[in-house]
Amino acid sequence: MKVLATYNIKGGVGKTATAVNLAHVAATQGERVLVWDLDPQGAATFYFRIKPKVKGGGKALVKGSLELGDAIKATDYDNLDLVPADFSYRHLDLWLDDAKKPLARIRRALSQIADDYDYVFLDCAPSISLTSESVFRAADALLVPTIPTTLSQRTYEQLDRFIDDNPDMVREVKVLGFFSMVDRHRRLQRRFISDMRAAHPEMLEASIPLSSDIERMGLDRQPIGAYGKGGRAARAYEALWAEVRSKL
Amino acid sequence: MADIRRFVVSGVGDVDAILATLVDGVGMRVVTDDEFERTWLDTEDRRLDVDGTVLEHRRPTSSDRAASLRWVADGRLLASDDCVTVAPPVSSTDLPNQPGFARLAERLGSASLVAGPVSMTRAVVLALLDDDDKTTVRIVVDRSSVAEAPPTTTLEIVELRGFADEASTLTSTVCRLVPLEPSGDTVLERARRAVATTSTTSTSAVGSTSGIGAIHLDAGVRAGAAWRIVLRSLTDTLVAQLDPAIAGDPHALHRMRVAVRRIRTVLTDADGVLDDRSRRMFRKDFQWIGDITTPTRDADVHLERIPVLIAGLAGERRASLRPFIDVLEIERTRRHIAMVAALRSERMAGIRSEWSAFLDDDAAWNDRRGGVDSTRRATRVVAGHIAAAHRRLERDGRRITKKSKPELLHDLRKRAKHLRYLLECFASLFDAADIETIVQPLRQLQNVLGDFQDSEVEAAELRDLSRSVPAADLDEGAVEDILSTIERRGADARKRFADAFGEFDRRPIRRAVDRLATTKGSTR
Repeated sequence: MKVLATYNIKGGVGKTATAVNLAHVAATQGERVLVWDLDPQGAATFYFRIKPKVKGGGKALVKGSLELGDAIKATDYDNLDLVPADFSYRHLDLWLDDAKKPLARIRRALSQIADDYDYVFLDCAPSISLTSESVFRAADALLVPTIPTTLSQRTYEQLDRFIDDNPDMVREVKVLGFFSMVDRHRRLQRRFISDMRAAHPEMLEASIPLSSDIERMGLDRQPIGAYGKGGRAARAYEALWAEVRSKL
Repeated sequence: MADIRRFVVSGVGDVDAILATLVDGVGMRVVTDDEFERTWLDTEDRRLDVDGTVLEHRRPTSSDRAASLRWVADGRLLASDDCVTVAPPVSSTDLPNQPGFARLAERLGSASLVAGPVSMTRAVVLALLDDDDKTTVRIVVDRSSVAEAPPTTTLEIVELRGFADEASTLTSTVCRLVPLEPSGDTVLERARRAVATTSTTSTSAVGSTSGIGAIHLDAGVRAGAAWRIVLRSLTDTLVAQLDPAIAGDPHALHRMRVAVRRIRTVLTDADGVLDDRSRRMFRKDFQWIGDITTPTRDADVHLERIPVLIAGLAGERRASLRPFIDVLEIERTRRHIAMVAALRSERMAGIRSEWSAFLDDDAAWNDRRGGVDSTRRATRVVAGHIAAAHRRLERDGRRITKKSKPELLHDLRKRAKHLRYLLECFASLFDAADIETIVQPLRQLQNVLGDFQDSEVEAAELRDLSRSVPAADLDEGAVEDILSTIERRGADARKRFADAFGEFDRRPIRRAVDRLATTKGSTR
């Protein structure tokens, strides 16, 4: 089982769209996929039309009184399941702090279902916290959507430095940055992308365009592959998934 | 991912009436409503069945929709896509080009897909939705007719993970409103039984295998006549494949070779039915035909499997294997030329002529001299041979341990093939259900033994052939990657042997073999 976490300190960069759409692409290719919506906002849960409720709340999952498997709900898509968000996740840091070996808690929860899934996507809240550190410990790769702006580059490099400075905490997680919400008509963005690739050649080749198709996810409450298959944005996610898979 | 509760609809099973109940009475929504011709597909050795997966080709009855292919395991969709062609795929190269089917291609290897049961089907998928329009339970209503059996309507309630209560409530409601009987069978299992019970000539529930036509033998037929009918049929198959094989068709070559192996098996067990001299002579002749085609067949298999083996490599690595693939193609051409020369030789012409004359010689098949009695009832003779082959297979299989040498498993594979060919060639003399009881685990065993032996042979030969590539052009790392994949497959097959043999070495199979001996016509 491979664990991928969509992560960025900045909000609104496309983390949830990435998690939901890549998970859907993987599922249509026959992989067994789980999305765990760790963001109390519950956007991924909303897209999948599932009620944002976990019996016993996030505390039960962290403490181990609820097995992760018992919190899982099937989505409407073959091979794709979800651990829903719960508003109580806003207290995750507090519970983790209380627990023994807090950084290992999410990984331990995931180990309970390791035989049931090929890929797990963790949709993380935009923050740097004990929860995110626990996610770093659990993940095989961080998918970091990055809008082509100076501030985004700054936060990307912040994350990179954090990973480098904390090898014991993050073990061997791969950082897979890619450009998100790319407007190819804007010269400044094109230039920025070129400069950032030069500075960070490890950035993935695939990028996700700025597209109203993606914004429609909130209206249709479906992954883009379910309603926009064949379109530019859907194809971009397929290409991104192919590249991410090849890196794992 | 999904728990499925299966039911058969009692009575007429009117789909529209059931839909009206589910939609109007229960509040479900129709998601899809399709009519199609469905063909189930598997390899000759039923490796998908062994894996617990099901491959279906669906050709809609409405011409404005494309045919599609679905690969499913335990209700979980592994891959689904539109087909490029209307007809079902025959090999892994015909599969849709998408990652889900790449895994299927790897599983198939060089094996051909053969058509199994065919049904005319109407399938309706309904969803129970919550107030967010989220599906909480799915129902599939399937009305299928197979062969000449009356159509059957089944209803499956698919419980989605995390929605067990909703599924239970719906099940209670539906069971009150629709006349249902619980059933453990899938639609495919039902279709297989329909084929087996409505056909007296089918040699296997998954349809004819490798081009063998259905061979019909009357219950009271004498041994000489039975052997003659079977051998004529197998010869017809061989001859039909000869020209296409010479022209370079790898599938025809494979079918031809299977016919040759079956002929040799049937000749081996013609002991006491045909005179020994003729038996030995023709067995040698067909051995020769098998031998001259083996190198080409091996080369075909290498070339068929290469795309699957290299699919997992990165782009540059795949490209670096081009010189190696060129060597394989050159070698295949060389072997094919040699094979064609042999098949067009005077020796081959002589074998065909003498064999044809032997098949036409009435006296040879009604012999009662020198220990031969071809007038005995075929059922009795065949049952005896099957029992003996079964005993040998059980005995030798039980001797194999984790430390046994590979050669013992290769020999066991030959025994398994021998038994299977007997069962299939003479199947119409016996009860189809008994034959199926024996053949199903036997196929699984053969599949495992085949994977093991083929992996060894393939790895050795590819390693050998890689030495023909100029050193400067050879990407040793990429070749080693391929060989590792093959070796892993072989090691995996070795691990699966104990379970596969365990499934065969069981009392129900022994009882089925015993029942063959008590079939009407098997005693004087």
